Amino acid sequence: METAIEVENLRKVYKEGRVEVVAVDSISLSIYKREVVGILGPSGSGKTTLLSMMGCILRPTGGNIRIHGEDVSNLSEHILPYIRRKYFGFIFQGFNLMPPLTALENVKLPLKFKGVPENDAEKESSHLLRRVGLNERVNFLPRDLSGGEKQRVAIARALAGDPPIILADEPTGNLDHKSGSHVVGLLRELVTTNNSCAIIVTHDSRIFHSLDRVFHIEDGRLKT
Amino acid sequence: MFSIALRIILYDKVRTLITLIGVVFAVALIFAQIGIYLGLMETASLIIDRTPGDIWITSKNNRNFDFSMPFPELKINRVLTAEGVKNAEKLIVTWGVIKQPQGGTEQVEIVGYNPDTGIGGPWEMKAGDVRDVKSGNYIIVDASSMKRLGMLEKGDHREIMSRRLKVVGISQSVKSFTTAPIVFTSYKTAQHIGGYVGEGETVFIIANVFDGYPVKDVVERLREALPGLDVYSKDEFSKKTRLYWTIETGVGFSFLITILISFFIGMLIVGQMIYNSTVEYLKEFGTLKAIGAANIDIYKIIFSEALINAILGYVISLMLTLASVKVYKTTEMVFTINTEVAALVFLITLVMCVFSAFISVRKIRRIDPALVFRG
Ligand SMILES: Nc1ncnc2c1ncn2[C@@H]1O[C@H](COP(=O)(O)OP(=O)(O)OP(=O)(O)O)[C@@H](O)[C@H]1O
Ligand SMILES: [Mg+2]
Repeated sequence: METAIEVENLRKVYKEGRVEVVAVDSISLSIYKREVVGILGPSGSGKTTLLSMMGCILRPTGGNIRIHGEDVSNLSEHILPYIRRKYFGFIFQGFNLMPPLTALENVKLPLKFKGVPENDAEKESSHLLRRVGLNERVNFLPRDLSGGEKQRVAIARALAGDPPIILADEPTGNLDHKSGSHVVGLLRELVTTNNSCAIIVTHDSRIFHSLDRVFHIEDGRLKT
Repeated sequence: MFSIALRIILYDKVRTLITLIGVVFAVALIFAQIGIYLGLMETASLIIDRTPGDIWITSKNNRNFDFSMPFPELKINRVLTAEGVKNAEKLIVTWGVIKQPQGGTEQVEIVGYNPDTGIGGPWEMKAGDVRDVKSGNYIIVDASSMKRLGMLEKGDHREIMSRRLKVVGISQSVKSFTTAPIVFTSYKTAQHIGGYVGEGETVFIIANVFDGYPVKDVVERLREALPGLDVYSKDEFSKKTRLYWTIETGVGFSFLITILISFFIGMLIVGQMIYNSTVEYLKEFGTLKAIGAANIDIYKIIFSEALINAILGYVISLMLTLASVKVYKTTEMVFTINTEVAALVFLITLVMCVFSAFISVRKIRRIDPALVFRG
């Protein structure tokens, strides 16, 4: 099995004034291509922190991260955006859509950064919106979408450009059971066809059965 | 990224409106300052520019059209014999005091030209003819000076420096930067009014060159032939006069200051709005960074915002300015707006808006993509 992400003794310490919060404490794990894995843990246990370090959004305090064999732990700030656009599709806990842009334009964003030609970007984005069931909403602004619809736009955006690794923070939180299962089904399908992988942070026990593996963390540590 | 900027601008309607009003005010003010300044300068060199003459010869170290020293008129022979000179004409510009019919006086600028050739005389007549000032105490007054001199008609008499002169014509659109009314008379009469110019003296010699002779070469030749005088091409003398009035009256400086202030106010308004917008979109820009945007992509967004504001604001200002030129025309002021002015102001607007966006660059560089996970 080919490794997609490998982390070793990953650590993150937040400093708030004099108080130090150890959010992630010596976590080591490997995730393989074609896997859909879950990260589970109570609130404040460090799930988001771990995910954002794996996604090269947050700098670790210590430890190593390898993506497709490439060590990205010590890359400069200038290189990181290119690493992010090359490897990752992100679904954030709070959707994070651009309010002035329509659903379609939001989905197109990562493709734009990748330099995909306008026509192709347009086609791929509307295709993705259809896949998440929003073909009727392509030209809606986020403020005119429901929470669940926004989340689906965010999912479509994360899938744009077929990233080799999808990092999702509570992607089914605002969806009903059926839509939630649909999203995981969609991720599963993509992972298989694209030879990619997905890492899903979740509280949603209803989707456990469709995950290949689940990592439990508590107080920043991996529980075995 | 341009389309994202456009979306942001259309989305934040109130902010966009306020910004545009700011840009429009600043740019319209700059337009007005440049237009009025150039209008004044056009007035300053009006007679030089309108007189058919390739070369102007003046006394040594003369600085402008309006206050020039007399010199012996016989020098014209040296001019006429120079190679390449087709013809030459004498022109007097001097000052006098005119008596007002209801009492009191006004100062007038007297222009004495040769009525046979009309060179240096009025170029647009409302009544009478350019030649009518010949052989007698005759004057032509300009229609624009009637505000100062009172209503005048052909056949009226006025006294300048104790000499009774008959109005034989009314000219049009002749103005002086000094705002003094301009009175035309014959060369001979001008020599004897006021006592500043004496018998056998002129103030300018205006020469024309034959086709095929470069003016520059003839100017050089005349400079050698007339060491006691200054020789300018029409263009040089026109510029010299404009420069004199720009600097000596301080009008250039005051216009410049107003333009600079407008520029900085415009820059501040646009800069402030883009900065506000950046702060408001901090989280969104953070998201863009997280999903792979480099700093440069986000700079492109804010610079596009600045650019869009510049273009919209400029177009509105240009339309307002063009509309107000019509209003200016009804007053006696000259307002110059042409393609060069429009291009220059566009450039100023672009610089103003684009520079203002730099205020936000540092903020954007420091946006932490990890922001997406907070709040
Ligand atoms: N920027 C920060 N500065 C200081 N402390 C932080 C910061 N971000 C997170 N923390 C702390 O680190 C710990 C882990 O936070 P994290 O967001 O990773 O938890 P989580 O498992 O995602 O929680 P939730 O399920 O509520 O999203 C928490 O105690 C949190 O307060
Ligand atoms: Mg979290």
